[in-house]
Amino acid sequence: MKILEVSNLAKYYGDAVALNGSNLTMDAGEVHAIVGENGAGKSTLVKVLSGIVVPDVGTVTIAGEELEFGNPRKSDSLGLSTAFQELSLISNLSVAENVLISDLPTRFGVVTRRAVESRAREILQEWGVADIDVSLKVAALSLSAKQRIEIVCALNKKPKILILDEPTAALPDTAWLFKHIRLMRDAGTCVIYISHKLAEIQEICDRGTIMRNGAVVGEFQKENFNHEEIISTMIGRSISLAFPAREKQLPTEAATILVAKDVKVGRQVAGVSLEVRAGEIVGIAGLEGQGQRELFYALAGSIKMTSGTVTVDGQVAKLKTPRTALRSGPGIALVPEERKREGIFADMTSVKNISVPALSQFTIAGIIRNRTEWRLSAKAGRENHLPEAFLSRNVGQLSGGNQQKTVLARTALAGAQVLLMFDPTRGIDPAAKLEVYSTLRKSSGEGAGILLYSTEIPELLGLCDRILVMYGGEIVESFSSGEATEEKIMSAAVGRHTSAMSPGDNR
Amino acid sequence: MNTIRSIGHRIVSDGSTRAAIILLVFLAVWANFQVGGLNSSIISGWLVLSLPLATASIGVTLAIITKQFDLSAAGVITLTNVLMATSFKDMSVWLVIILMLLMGAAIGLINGAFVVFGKLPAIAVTLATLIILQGVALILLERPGGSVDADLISFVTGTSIVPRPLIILIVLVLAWLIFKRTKLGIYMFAVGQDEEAVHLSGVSVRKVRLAIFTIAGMLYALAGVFLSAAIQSGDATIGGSYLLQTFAAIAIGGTAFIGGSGSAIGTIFGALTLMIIPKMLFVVGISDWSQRIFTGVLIILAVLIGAITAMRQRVKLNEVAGEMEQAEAHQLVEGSDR
Repeated sequence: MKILEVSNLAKYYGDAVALNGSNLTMDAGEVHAIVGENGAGKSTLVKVLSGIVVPDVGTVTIAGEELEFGNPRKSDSLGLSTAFQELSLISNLSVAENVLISDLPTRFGVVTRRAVESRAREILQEWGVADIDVSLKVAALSLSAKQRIEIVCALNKKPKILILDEPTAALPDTAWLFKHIRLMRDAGTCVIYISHKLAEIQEICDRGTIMRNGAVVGEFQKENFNHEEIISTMIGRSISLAFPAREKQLPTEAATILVAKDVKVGRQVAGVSLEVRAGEIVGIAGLEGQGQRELFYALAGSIKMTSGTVTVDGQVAKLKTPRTALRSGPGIALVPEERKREGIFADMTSVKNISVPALSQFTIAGIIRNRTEWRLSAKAGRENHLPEAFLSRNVGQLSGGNQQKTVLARTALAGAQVLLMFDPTRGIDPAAKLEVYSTLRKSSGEGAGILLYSTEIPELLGLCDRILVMYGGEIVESFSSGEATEEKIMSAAVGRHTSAMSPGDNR
Repeated sequence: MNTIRSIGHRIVSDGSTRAAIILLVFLAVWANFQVGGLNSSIISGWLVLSLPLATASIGVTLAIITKQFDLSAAGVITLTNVLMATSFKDMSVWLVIILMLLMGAAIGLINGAFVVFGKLPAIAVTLATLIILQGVALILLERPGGSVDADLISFVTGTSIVPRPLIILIVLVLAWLIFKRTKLGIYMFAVGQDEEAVHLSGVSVRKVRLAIFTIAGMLYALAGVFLSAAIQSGDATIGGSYLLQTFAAIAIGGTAFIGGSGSAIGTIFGALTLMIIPKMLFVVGISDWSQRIFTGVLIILAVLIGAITAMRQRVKLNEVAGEMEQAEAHQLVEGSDR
């Protein structure tokens, strides 16, 4: 039975195409994947369906009724609910208030805490997340707890159509989610599952739609699932999924470019020592919240180190601010975690975004020479695979992958030789990932020392010369690229050391 | 020892409590230096002057909690005062008050409509409203004059056992405590924190904004009524000082100007503090102009302490979230051991 029909849906932002006449239909009782590169139109489609974005043309019919665009409540009343990727929880309200936000129980007009919390507790119990305290403010929750609450909010509306936009981005354990997806599907709900993680899609989805440049370009069934084929349809050409190989062997006498000794940051980083040699890529693995973020940000001068010393190229680095870090010896630069908040100036052009930290390279008596700025920024952009057409566009309009390339181009132009890459491929599509990989290879080939954190272990295995595993604010294991395996890294990351140290000693 | 510390910590970390402490200290100084001590008429005089400022500042506080600036308070207060002193002489004063409240609500609604539907910045819209209303007031009453109904004056300024303004302030506090726990109250804090998320949750951000501007406008009119009773005549320039004083009261009251948090109770303490400063400094013997310096320094200190405690609270929340992540990691380990 058709539950959702999208016909000829189009949305343009200026000359940028977000949706270009998309047509698709979905059935009740199926789990339907939507895959595509960043910028393929998935997010815009979700936003149109859930009533946030009004399309330029097209219609959407849900269970036979036409959807009125641009109003989340209309979408809701037709039986569509969404768990958003950028979570829609309000951090200064309690979990209970968030769960019941659109339907707060009142007594004589007053919302009593007790009533809200007991009702919310029932709901969480029903969906198997009773371990989360409903009286806590959302700001005090871990990322994965927030994600579960966001999903429960959507599930609890018992929708006809349930949209899950990257639901496992912060969810370490998919079993809980998949159980409820299956229950919903069996009860006749159409579950739209949007994810970059093809392995998950293969496991949970019955059918899938592939999007590219705002249009539907392909479909697949669970029975004939094929990674390579899906990816090549997604990007419109075939690619090798292999990691770019190292061009020349890392010379054994390569100089050490970064030395950190016993770095402590608050309670998060409990004494980390590491070395990175010029031309080397050192990987950091670890579960969310093991101090890796604080370590990277402290090394970049963005947050204060409690104690410890850091030397770059033999001299002590001044890590008071990111600016002093960039000016210490050959320079330390960070590609930050949250692109949208920390990495880009969304309302400025790509060129301006690239040139910002290096403006003094193009000035005469303080005045910026636009031509030089353009030339050097364009060159840095090109080297990072950023299409020239995007240079004059505001970065906020670009896809996640192209935003990240802009950030990488900026880092390159700033000229730092020690690069701290904090999960540089999070949330970007496979093709853009490969381009980021080749950029990393190239920088290290030119003598940069790279410290790379990634949530995806295969990425570390494919790129790094050494992999260090962090747990509870310490480095608990170190593997050379030859001896590391996914299993070994994972078991170290969850605190099962092969070395003499036991988890209790970390405290 | 630990409990004392944690109580102390709670006192300092709450904006309203900090404001209350400042007020109590000033009150003690004032009582100590006042020749012959404080009597009920002196206290009552202070409360009568504080009441309109406190009422108006609560309105501004609501707007600030939703992350909007509302500068129109002074305009509505002035117009209300002038109308009450010059017009509707043959009408029951209570009916006039209702009319004034409706006018304030209408002005607030118009402000809100420009902000919500016109997508204009609230600071510009309400600045325009302020200037226009002050102009209208000057047309209606060029020179100070007119008179205010005697019943109203005795109702607002009367003192039986407890000064009447104090009772009114207590009523306002109770109203705030209830309002905070209504749907609108909860949405008000939510909108100020994260407008986008509220929208996604299917709650109408527009309605919340319109309602808050309307209630704020009504509170300004109520402040105008209280002010009229306090000064017992009309003056088209009297409201002007409220523009800055409302914001000063809010700052001292511990409401941060960033939206998503704030307290009317703190604001009331802030208004009382602001009005006690000249009286306290006078009896101590500090000159008129130094009062301004004193007030300015106090505001900076209040905002500074507020910012520091807010930062510490954020760190605390992050720590709680971090501990949760640690616990989850341990659970994963145990799970994979099985």
